Amino acid sequence: MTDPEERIRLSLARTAERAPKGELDLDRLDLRESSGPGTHRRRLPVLLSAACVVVVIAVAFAVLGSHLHETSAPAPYADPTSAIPPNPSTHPDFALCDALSTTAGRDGVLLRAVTVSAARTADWLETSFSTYPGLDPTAETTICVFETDPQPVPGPATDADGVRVLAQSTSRWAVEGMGPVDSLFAGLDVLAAEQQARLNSRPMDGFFPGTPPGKPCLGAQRASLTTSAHHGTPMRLPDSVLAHAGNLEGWMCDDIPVITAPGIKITFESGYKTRSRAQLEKDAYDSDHPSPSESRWPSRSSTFVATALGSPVLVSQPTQRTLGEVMYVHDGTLMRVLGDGTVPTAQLLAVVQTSTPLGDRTVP
Amino acid sequence: MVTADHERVTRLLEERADWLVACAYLLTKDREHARDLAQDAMVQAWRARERVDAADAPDRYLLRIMLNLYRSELRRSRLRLVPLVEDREDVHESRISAGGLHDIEAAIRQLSPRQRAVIVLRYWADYDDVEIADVLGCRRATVRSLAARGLAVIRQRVGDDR
Repeated sequence: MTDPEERIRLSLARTAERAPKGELDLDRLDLRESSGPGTHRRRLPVLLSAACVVVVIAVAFAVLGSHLHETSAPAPYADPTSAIPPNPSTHPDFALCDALSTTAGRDGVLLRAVTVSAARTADWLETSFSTYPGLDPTAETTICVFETDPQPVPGPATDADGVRVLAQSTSRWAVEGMGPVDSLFAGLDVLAAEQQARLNSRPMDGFFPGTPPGKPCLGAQRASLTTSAHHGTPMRLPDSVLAHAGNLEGWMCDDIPVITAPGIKITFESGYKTRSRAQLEKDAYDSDHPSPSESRWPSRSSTFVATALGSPVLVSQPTQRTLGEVMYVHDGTLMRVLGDGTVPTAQLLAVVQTSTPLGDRTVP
Repeated sequence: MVTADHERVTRLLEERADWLVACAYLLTKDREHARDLAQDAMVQAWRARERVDAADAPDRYLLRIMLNLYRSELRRSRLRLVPLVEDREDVHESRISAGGLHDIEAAIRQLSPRQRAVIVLRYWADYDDVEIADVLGCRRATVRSLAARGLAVIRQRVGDDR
């Protein structure tokens, strides 16, 4: 055995010693309860239910098969290099990221360089700083995003392997993920637009950074919005008391279409075709945003599931310090309705419930 | 009624809990994540206890479950923060460590998840290439290739190729 290999062994052994120990208790995992003979008795109804589901799915495929064949088309973001253009070399953080790409061994193409507060990074990651000691929520951090070659993760290879994306923020932390680029970076694009606007204008007072309901993101472009004009992102037009054709305005926040009405902001984010509602729900419940003093994003602790248009929607009730929000996934697009603290939850739900596909109509 | 296979799997999970967490920690370098991953793997292993008990190498079966869960997580489009240096409480120890182990540790974290898994299984779990291929569900040649590329990255990082 060569010396480097011995050092790798030592290094791994030393790291493994720091792993948590004695914290997984079988009783706590509630494993033993299901070991009785009742387990076998319960299988029959489960199997029958599963068989029914299989039959229903098979029938659905048989009926819809021809339609699927006719309508299937390449994903709009199948080629990530077309979805996210290389970062312009004039970006103030380009040199920093470029240096990181070699010193950190991240041999990928630099896609983005965005400087934002660490609190906003946490929003983007839907995470909490409590999990990451050493990250200062008040500090600004540069996120450099690299696209690397597809790198299969452990386990049997399948066609579903996506593009691995790496982002590095500060020298201590990296952001790692894998999946559809447009889905991963919908949030980051908003951050990028905000940052670009901040370079050129005074930050907006109060509220949470940049995007209070009723206003689009900083740096937004006024736009007449139609479905076909925006990468095929299916949009819906509300017709409720607070948001209706008479008071809607159309915007583009980078490549995300946004509709605003007084006190309300509606965004349409693509990339949710392969994201089930269950995953979305889990995302929402798992989210643990920074303390209210650092962020006014909706509080996940007050999130519940409601029904609108025959589908489950996630509702976050507004509080004195946090925004209200309704999330509804339709046609692979996340329709996110944000309202400031003055908009009752029922009115936010009404925005979704009264919405209809935008079709050929236009939001001025 | 508790059957013999239940007893064996229970014993296996009890004996291997810390080992599984340690392996998850080496892959993720995140204590919370490692705990969750190992816990989920144990729950799944318990649900599939007949298959675990019947497996030629239950240890490897357990690892395979965990690596598949890890893989699923990476697929879920969820982004997570990955520390590039060790936990703060470990920094001091790391600084005084001899032999550049700190650099090796950092280099291992730079590897792709699959390369990292091969390095961990080979040099920490002491699995041979056949066993690693079984766990990862790939060919032996793929294991060798992943290991070679991983080692090259580590050597480059710690300067052993001079």
